[in-house]
Amino acid sequence: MTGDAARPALELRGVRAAYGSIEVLHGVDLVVPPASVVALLGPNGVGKTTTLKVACGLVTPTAGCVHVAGRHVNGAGAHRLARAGVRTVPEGRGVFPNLTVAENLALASADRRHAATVHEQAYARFPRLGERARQSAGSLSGGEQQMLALARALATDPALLLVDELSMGLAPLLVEELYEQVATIAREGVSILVVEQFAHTVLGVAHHAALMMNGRVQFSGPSAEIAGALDAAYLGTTGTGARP
Amino acid sequence: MTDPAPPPSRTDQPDRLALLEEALASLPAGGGAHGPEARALAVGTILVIASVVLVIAGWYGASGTLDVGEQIPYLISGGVAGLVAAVIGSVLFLRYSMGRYLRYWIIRLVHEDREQTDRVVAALERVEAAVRSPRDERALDRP
Repeated sequence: MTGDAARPALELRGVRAAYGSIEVLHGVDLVVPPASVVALLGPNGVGKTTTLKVACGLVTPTAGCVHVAGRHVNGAGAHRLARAGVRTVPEGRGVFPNLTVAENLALASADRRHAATVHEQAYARFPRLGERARQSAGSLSGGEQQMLALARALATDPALLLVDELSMGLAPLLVEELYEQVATIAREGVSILVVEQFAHTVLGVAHHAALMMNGRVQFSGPSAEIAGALDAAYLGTTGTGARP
Repeated sequence: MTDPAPPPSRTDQPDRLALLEEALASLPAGGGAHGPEARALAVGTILVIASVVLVIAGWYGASGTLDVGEQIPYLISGGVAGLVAAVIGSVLFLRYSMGRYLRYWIIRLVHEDREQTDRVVAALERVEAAVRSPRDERALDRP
């Protein structure tokens, strides 16, 4: 491994962000190493999704630095980052409900020839999408819609994938299946940041995890270490095994 | 916070990070403006208020003398500058407040569209359930 390989795919240093005059991130430090899955955990309303929006360029930080692949990208713009290879699977359904599965995938492709490759790869990864290629995306089940959102995000070979609440509203078995796909994607060299409220679903595949509380990362470390700290942190007690 | 170490790398995969870095190299970054829209709205509002002040000041100055030659500078400084400030301020204010409103409107449309699709899908499922078991009429009564 070269020295270059140790360079993080995503790095947030002292990031502060606000909606209007209300600051929601009070100095977030977070590192996503290359080709790894990092889980960003925490209860509802602590700033996980805002952190993701800062990482993908939707929210410009008021202070601090966002580095993607070692480049300073504060204020670069979400569309430019997406074009460069930073892809987001948003919370809920990131699909166009009135378009078919094939049309949703075609939207993520640059031209007709590329569209054929995108379809082929998406159906190979998620055979169920292939069976429903001509079905409108709105009529898919929640899990299938998440598969479609993931397939679309992967259509352009991203280097960094940001996933928000993949498990929302899905059955546990389906969530497990989706996270197995996330692990496979990481093995292909994609760096992944997963925001998740239900920690135990993601810790099985995450290499590292960070726990957010009140707009800051309180603990971070290997998934195995942080698992023990979660209950205490969620219940508001102290005494954790994770590194501060 | 200690930086996590990357997992063992696989050599058969393309160096996505190098490609990403290359793509990011030409991006205009380095600070960025936090809330440029809010700033433009504030500038527009200030300009409109300033234009009113300029016009009043111009009128006040011009009304203090009967000499037309002395009134002209007031007319130019107060009237014309006030008018220009009012036009620029109004354009800024309308451009950014309308942009914000139209974005909200489109998001609202998408949201309603999704809700409508959900309702249609739920109705079709109820009809399908009723067709499969015609005796169970309660299936059609479910909200």
